Amino acid sequence: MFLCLVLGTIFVLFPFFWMTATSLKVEGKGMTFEFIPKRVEVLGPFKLQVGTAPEGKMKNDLTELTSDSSFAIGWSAPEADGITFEITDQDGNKKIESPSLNKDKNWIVANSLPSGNYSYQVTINRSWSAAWHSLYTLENFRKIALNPNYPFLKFLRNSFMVAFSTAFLTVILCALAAYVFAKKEFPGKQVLFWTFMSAMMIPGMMFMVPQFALVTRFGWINTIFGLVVPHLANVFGIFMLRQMMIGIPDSLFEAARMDGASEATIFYRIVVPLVMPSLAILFLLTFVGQWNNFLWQLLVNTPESDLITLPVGLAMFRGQYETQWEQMMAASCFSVMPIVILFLFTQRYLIEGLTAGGVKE
Amino acid sequence: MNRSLKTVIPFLLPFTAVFAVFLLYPAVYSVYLSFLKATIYTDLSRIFSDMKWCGLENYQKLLYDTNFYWSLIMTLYYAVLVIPMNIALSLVLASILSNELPGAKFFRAAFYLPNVLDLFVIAVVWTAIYAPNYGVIDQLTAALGLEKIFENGILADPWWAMPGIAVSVVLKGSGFGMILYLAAIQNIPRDIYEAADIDGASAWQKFTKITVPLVKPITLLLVVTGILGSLMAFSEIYAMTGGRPYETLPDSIPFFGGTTQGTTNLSGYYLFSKFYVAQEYGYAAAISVALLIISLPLSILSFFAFQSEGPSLRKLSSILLKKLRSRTAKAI
Repeated sequence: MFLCLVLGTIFVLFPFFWMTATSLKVEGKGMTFEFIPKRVEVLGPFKLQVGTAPEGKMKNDLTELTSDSSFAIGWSAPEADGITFEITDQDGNKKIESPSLNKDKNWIVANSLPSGNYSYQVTINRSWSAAWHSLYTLENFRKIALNPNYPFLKFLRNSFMVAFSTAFLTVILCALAAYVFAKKEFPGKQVLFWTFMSAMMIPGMMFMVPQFALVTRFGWINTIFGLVVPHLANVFGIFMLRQMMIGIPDSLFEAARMDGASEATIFYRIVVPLVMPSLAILFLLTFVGQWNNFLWQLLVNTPESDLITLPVGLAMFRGQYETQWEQMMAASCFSVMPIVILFLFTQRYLIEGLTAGGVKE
Repeated sequence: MNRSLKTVIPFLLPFTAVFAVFLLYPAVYSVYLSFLKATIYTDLSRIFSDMKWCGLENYQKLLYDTNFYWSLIMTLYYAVLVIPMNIALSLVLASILSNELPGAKFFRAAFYLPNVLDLFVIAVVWTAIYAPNYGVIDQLTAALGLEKIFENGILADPWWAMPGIAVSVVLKGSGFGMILYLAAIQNIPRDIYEAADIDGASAWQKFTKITVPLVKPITLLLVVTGILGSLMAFSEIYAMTGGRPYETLPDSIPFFGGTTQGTTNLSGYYLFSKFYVAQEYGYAAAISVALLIISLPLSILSFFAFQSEGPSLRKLSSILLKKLRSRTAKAI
């Protein structure tokens, strides 16, 4: 049973592991199953033809030069401790095996060979640290952070700004309204409450077209208002906070009123501290929800916007770097890591908030 | 009465104002917009205030739009793939976790983690996993010495693209169902299981005869929210296939024969493509309204299913408990 759980975890978190592993590897190795750095690496055998016109080729860190009767091979990566070249002719006879070379003398020349086909292979010995660095690197993250066309640090700031301000304002608006619904009587209360609740039954995507039209007419495209304001009316928030506030005993309010406290004071000094945990949960849920609100952020930002958020930035980045898997995974990592870290610290509240009664995303 | 209003208004006004402008008005405006269309005289820089009344034209177009019907059928197919997988995985995980093994808290968090991450980003990661040649599937088959299963990766295969998307979405989303199931299972009184033990029920019998029926409200909730989620599915399609691969259907298929359809073009994505890509705002509004009419009964059902989940669960379990008690009493 325990084994099931471990296997299940690996299975469910597999994309997450794969993303992290890929983003930490050097270019070209990200998507391979190579996870343990190799101290001894054998490259090749590569084919080689002697007896043609002079020619030079580069294969990653290998350089080969051939001419009519000789050739030279060089290894240009600086981190190898010992390099051995082995040259075989077409019948499989070993022709030349070089002594172990090092980074100062890292190439060999073979002279006066009869023309024909040969093959060669290269054996590279590395120290542990060199082997580690030949597989793992933070370079991808550096490239992502410093990319001038796709400033991911700015995207990060924008995402944070949007998620934080939406969550903060949502909590304030919901707390104010929920207090009234929980503890006050006024004409039209039931009607208003059920009008709010009925909006919860309309799936969010149905609001996409008209909200976009509204934001366009307000001239809010590419502005923080366009990104934040349409999401402030969080009906689920009212619903959840009202449930908590109903539980506050009325005697507290009466006592405060006797002491001459105003409504604002009562709200600020009694209600807010008492429902603080619920406010925190609502804040977290809204923060995470807005961080992940890809569709709306895509609509409200045009490509030249200053407020492009992480997922939208990632979508644009992907259009340009389709095959640069390592960098793309680094960018993905960069987008989800803040939420992963937040989750690690607050998972108890996030999960509790969910079971407390949240369905509506 | 007047005084009570006066104290209430400052508290209510901010929320009500935002609600009225950004939820209530749009709901009405959406319907109005569906009767408008852009003409060649429309000033595109202020398109929303310069569209012309066109009566039911958008709805007429929708009625004959084979792409729309196709997207609905694909949505149904997607729902049929995702929902059972999701329910099975969540329920299995939850019932294993409910045994209170060491580290249960850790595993609960681990399973739930993918659920808080951005669907779009996770879907991008899945495109890397599914990628042709470099992807995990192609490398695994190559390592086992098998032939490539999919010519250009699973997401370019008209038959397998949708199951591929479904698997990735289920793995991401099942943590949510697991948490709900876990809470429901922990609410089941232990006596029921103890009574079943006395009757000599096997673990499998306890699972199918006690656990599964008692968590039925959650299952219903997951089915309904699953259908709604499928109707609104967007990010995963946008990230993974963009509605592709497009196939021209053979004439033998009734109704759709001869048309070209995106094999992963779900209704939510179709709405997006009409709205954002083709910029047919009036038509997109009409699609919204049609989808709303389809989803509204389900939404209402899910709302009340969730409201009543607590009481109905307790009622069900007490009935079952009574039944079991009488049976054990007879046995003794």
